[in-house]
Amino acid sequence: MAEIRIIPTLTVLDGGLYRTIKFKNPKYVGDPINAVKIFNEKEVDELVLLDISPKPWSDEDFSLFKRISCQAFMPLAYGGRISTIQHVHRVFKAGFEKVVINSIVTKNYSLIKEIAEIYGSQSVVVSIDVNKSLFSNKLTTFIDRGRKNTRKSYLDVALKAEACGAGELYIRSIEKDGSMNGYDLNIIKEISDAVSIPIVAVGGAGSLEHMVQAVDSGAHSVAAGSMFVYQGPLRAVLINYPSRDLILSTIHNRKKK
Amino acid sequence: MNKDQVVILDYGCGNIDSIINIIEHIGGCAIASNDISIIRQYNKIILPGVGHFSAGMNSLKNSGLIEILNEKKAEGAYIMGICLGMQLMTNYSEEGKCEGLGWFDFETKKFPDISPKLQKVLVPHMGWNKVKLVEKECPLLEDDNRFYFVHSYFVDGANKDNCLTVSHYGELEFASGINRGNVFGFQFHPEKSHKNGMHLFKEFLKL
Repeated sequence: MAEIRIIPTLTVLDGGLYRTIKFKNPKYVGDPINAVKIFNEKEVDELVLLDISPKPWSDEDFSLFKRISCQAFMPLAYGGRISTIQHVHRVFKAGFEKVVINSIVTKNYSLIKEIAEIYGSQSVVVSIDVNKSLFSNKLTTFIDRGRKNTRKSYLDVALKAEACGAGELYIRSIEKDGSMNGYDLNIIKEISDAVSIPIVAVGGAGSLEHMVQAVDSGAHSVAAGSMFVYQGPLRAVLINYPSRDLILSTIHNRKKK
Repeated sequence: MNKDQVVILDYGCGNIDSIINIIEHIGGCAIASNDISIIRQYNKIILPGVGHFSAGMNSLKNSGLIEILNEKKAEGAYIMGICLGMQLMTNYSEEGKCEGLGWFDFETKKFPDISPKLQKVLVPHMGWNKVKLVEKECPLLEDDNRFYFVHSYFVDGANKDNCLTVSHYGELEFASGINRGNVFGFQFHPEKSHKNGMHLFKEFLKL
């Protein structure tokens, strides 16, 4: 089988690299180009750039995306501000080979189909952001960088996305974002039991052990933001990525329970 | 033309920029072109490709590039096919039921989504996988290195003549690299495979 991928996600806002907690309080952690160079040196499995700027794209944004893709000799995905097929064409032209779509999905499932038909299903990733509703504890699908509750069931969204040709699902718990205390394993398990496309667990990883838990709960790959930019309990900024040997012994060659 | 100068065929079906990026990164020089008079001057040619087999074959035909490819191959120019570019070098593909360039006596087939042991197999095969040299030493690759793959169809030529490397997916063994004289084909994406990919391009430039 193809290996489990361990994927750093870079959150970018106005040209800087940021980290959030529960999608809020963006904290500047450095220059994205520099981070990509370091992740390149560390030979990461894949990189995901998540652009959380609320403004429309500018030419400067694209010059940054291009500078990032020139440095990245690994698979590269881009998410953020995509709502039309023209946006998708532009992202692929800038050197990315996967797009991550989120807010548009629940409004227009046909975009998934359109991307899959042109670029293949492996190039369209649907990100499902899950959070608690304000007045009830019910977990539902959120959009617009976690600001809007669609009140739609995340299982429904996952199944619809799969039926439309999504190649992969990112399952993100907003509650867990930046917590570094582990993924929401129940949601991962529930969705992975329901769909047959690969699932990438996102949100909450603080250690390789958390990643093992996600894989054991049905994730095919695992992504993390804070874990790869912070070091130590005080969260000092230090771009890091586990060594190949450590990944092999902790994840790939682990004894299955 | 110097050894480290490469032309990448621009026939509308490829991830060309990322190949140019990696070749420039390792100190080579690459251009993209569909101009026969330019391509003719080069002794190193890369045939990239992503997408549908018959669409790729049609684009090659419509750009008038098949003759120049055959001419350069006969002249002994080094030609490297990547992903769909490799598949196009085979006789035939199930994707679009279409004939290829016929440089390798193999067929390109669809990955079954059920393994021989009746396990569900995710198609496309996407991710990092091991690439094993079949027997002969190859200047471009070391044995058992990891490369990045994205494909739904595979070249059915594991361990046959001209099979350079094999890989496994869904309990199926397929030709992940093929070689015949001056022609190479790779199913994986060396341009997305970090140092192993850089090594491959570096050695290709030295040929």
